[in-house]
Amino acid sequence: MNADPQQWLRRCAAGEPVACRQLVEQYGRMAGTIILRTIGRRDLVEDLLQETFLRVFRSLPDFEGRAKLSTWICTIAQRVAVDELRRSQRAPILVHEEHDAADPANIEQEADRDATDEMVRAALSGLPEKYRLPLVYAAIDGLDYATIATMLGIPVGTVKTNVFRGKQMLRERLEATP
Amino acid sequence: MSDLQPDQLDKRIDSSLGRLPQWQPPADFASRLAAAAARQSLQPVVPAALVQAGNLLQQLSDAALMVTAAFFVAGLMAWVVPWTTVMQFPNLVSWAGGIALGITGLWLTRRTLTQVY
Repeated sequence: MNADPQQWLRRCAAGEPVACRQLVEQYGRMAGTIILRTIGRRDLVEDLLQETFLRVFRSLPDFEGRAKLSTWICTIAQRVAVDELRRSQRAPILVHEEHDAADPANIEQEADRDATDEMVRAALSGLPEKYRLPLVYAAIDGLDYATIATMLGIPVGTVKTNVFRGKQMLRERLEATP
Repeated sequence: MSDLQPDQLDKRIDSSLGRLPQWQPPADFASRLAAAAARQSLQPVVPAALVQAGNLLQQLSDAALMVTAAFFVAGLMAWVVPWTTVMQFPNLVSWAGGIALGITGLWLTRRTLTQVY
């Protein structure tokens, strides 16, 4: 996309609209998904993502390149979302999304799938943050354990353990569901 | 759910996690944000006077800063408090230093807040 990443970042830091737009286009979707999965409310994502990127642009001159740019942006998005979660003191509920009209032959299968999704999301909402966040982040395409570890400020091994333990807790809760 | 085999349940959990909601940016989101970033870059976050003062302090080395501060304090003490008084009441020096530090801290905090907000 850009021949010289450093120059591109300098242009972003200077507030050059084209460079800023490219940065948002490249990382906006992932950062938005992190925010959505952290707070569970779609209506707040845009505002929080705007706050995230304004922080990113403001802090770009201090970005030393020790972490990958994507990791750095994801970390800022995660912190903005967690701050909001703590401010609002609401348990996150991952909203159910309507799918496109299903093929009539698969309606029963779709309904079954939706019911499972609903139960998994309800069980997820009840998990402690320590297990819920690594679990929902690990299910984002392109987000590896190393990135999640940096975002959460914990070792990679702990992320893996928490994902495993989180799944185990989910399983226990779903098994208890009639 | 309780009637499922453990591996079936695991598969269902994994596929449900894979279907967790994703966020798709609206068509004009990147452009709006870029415009907001451009507006932000036009507004100085810190006033120029504060930046100049900060630059000056940054350019001074720690040693130079400490020597300057020591000379300043010594000069001030010699001017304000006679040496005989200091010898008679050594505790006075600690108290005077503490009070001066407190007042300076409050003054600097107030000044910084006034200039930033």
